[in-house]
Amino acid sequence: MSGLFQSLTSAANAMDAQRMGLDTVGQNMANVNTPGYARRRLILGELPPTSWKNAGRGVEVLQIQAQRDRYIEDRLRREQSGASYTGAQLQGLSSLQTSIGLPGAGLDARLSGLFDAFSTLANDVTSPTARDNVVAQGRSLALSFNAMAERLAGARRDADGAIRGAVDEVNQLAEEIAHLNDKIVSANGVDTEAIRDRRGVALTRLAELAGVNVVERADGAADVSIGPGFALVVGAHAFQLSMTPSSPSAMGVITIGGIDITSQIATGTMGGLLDLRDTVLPGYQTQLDQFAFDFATQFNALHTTGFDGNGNAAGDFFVQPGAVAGAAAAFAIDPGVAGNSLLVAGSATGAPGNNEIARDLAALRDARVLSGGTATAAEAWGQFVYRVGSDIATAESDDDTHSQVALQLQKLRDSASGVSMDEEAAWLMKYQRAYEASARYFTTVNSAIETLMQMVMR
Amino acid sequence: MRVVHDVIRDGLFAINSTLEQMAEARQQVTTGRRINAISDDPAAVVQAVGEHATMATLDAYTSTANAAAARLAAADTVLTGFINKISGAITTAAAARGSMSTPESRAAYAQQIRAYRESLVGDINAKFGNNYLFSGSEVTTAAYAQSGGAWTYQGDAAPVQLEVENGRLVSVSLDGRALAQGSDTTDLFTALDDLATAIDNNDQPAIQAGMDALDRAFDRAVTVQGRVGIDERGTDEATARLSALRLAAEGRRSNLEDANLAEAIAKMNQADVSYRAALGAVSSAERLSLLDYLK
Repeated sequence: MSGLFQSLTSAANAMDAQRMGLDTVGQNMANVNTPGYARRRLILGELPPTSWKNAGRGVEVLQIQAQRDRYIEDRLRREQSGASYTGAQLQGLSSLQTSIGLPGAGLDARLSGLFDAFSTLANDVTSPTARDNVVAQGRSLALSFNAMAERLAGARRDADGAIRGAVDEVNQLAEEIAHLNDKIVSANGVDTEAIRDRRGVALTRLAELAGVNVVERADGAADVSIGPGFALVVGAHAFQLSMTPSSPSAMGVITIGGIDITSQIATGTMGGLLDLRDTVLPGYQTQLDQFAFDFATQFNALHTTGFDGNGNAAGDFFVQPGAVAGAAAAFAIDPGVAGNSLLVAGSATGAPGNNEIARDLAALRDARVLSGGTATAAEAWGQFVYRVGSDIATAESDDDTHSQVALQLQKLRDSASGVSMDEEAAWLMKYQRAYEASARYFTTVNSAIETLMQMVMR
Repeated sequence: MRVVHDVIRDGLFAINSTLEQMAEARQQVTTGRRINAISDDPAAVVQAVGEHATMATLDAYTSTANAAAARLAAADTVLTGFINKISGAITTAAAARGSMSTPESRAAYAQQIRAYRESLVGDINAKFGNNYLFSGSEVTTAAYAQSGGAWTYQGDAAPVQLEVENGRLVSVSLDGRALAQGSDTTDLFTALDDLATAIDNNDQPAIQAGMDALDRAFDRAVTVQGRVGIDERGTDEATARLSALRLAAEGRRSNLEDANLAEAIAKMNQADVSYRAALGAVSSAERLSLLDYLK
């Protein structure tokens, strides 16, 4: 009799275990679309027999285990960090490329316009219309230089603003991770897998933003460092990043615990934006400034050898830049020339019909006087366009590569941790059948007990 | 390996990839351009910048050549009239030199010579637009003016030159003194005035000297017109060369920038098929699962 009751207990244990299996399947199906969710598996264990006279005591639930592969998750975070780096650069550069324009429709067209205007002036150096056209084209070129410089400066400011936003988000995530660490450590045996899932999502986003390193401690807390090893989260404590404007550029400097780590953040969205703000865009600015400085200098040097429409020695055509830095932003036609086109030089002798200077200025189009005497104006502009274009093409290619690798890693991560509805359906059927079998077994044992009881009652 | 299909991630990735290809091909077809952003092919973009600059240079030379051709044609026309008038003056002087002339006829010949002089002064002070053609680089000043009874050249010897192609200069404003005086001690107009006076006075040696001066002026004018003709022909040749070079540069630019439409349309169709296939694959992958078979 006691054996039959033990069988009843065994059947009840089995039904309980299969019900938990059904619960686990239900949980997995419910979270099929939850970001960061790692599928759960019910780990069952056999309850061994207490003596040689019975087969065993049934089954027990050992654990509900989250299926995670830490190696893949670490790799995925690193790859997502790289993808975010190139993505951030690509976004910043793509908005810039529209303002550069296609060949024959950008600053090169304004350069051609100025040279064409001097060529037309050379055809009739006494024509007031031709002189006015030279001034108009010079002004148009100056505005193009100014606009390009402003777009580069604007792109830097945009990157700075985006970095500021990223710093705020990093601080929020660090606080969240520290808080979740605290919950995990102080769980006292309560299941923490759901908290780990949430922490995983926060860590992934953090990696996208700043390319962090994560070390999981024995107590379950995750320590997070940024850059080459600056602690961001240690257990339940989060350190805050701060961003303060620097002088004279007004661009933000990122510090943690008073230490400047701006140049140490080399991955993630922030790394990409910092590289864009502090290296890529300033490089473009310097090249554009050098171009503007050299162009104005060479143009003025030739212009001042001539005579204006009044027969007087000519002055500068463009305002001579004081320095290379800022030359594009300050590029402007000389105010005197802008107000009186008779001050444009066309003659080399002072004779009103002499057009040698106008001709020479038009011929400057084909003269290699820029980039240290190696490039014409169009070639110097081409070098600038090539640099920006190839940087964007490289960023596009890198972004594609990182996205593909991240996608493959995401699939790998899903193969370990993702929820498959087909698989869950199979488990659902399996637990359902097992539950039904256990219930039938329970009924059978119960029936045997009833039979015994009826024998006793007779 | 477990395969987990995520319709949002995997499905949209596939759909977006084919959609990007289709958008790129469609843009090439609709714009007719292979390069729609500088990152499409940076090396080709740099070459295209160079080709645009080359075309702009050629266009500027062509424009200059056209301007030069117009001015040379004007100068040529003026010189033709100039030469004809000198010939007429020579003929008139020859008639006046004959022994049959009477004082009345000589007065008429002298008057005719003065009319030629007047007309030749008008020719040498001809303008193209606002510029005098025969004042050298002093294009705003008439070539010859009478001052105190004497004719004075007010221009200079420096011609105005236009560059009609790289390194080729043509003179579009000429040295009037070289035309009207050359190496003579007096200019053509003074010589004509002297000739008219000589005819009035029936001074045969002076008439002969005047006719000799006209012969030399005729030679000078023919020489100058010949030079103008050479420049006109050179300008025409330059224009033809510039046109050929422009065509070649345009071809190179087109190769760099323009889309091969047949190829782009084929790509667009291919991308369209891929896009439909991706849509079909994604929808069929989501259509069935084991859950559909559980009873």
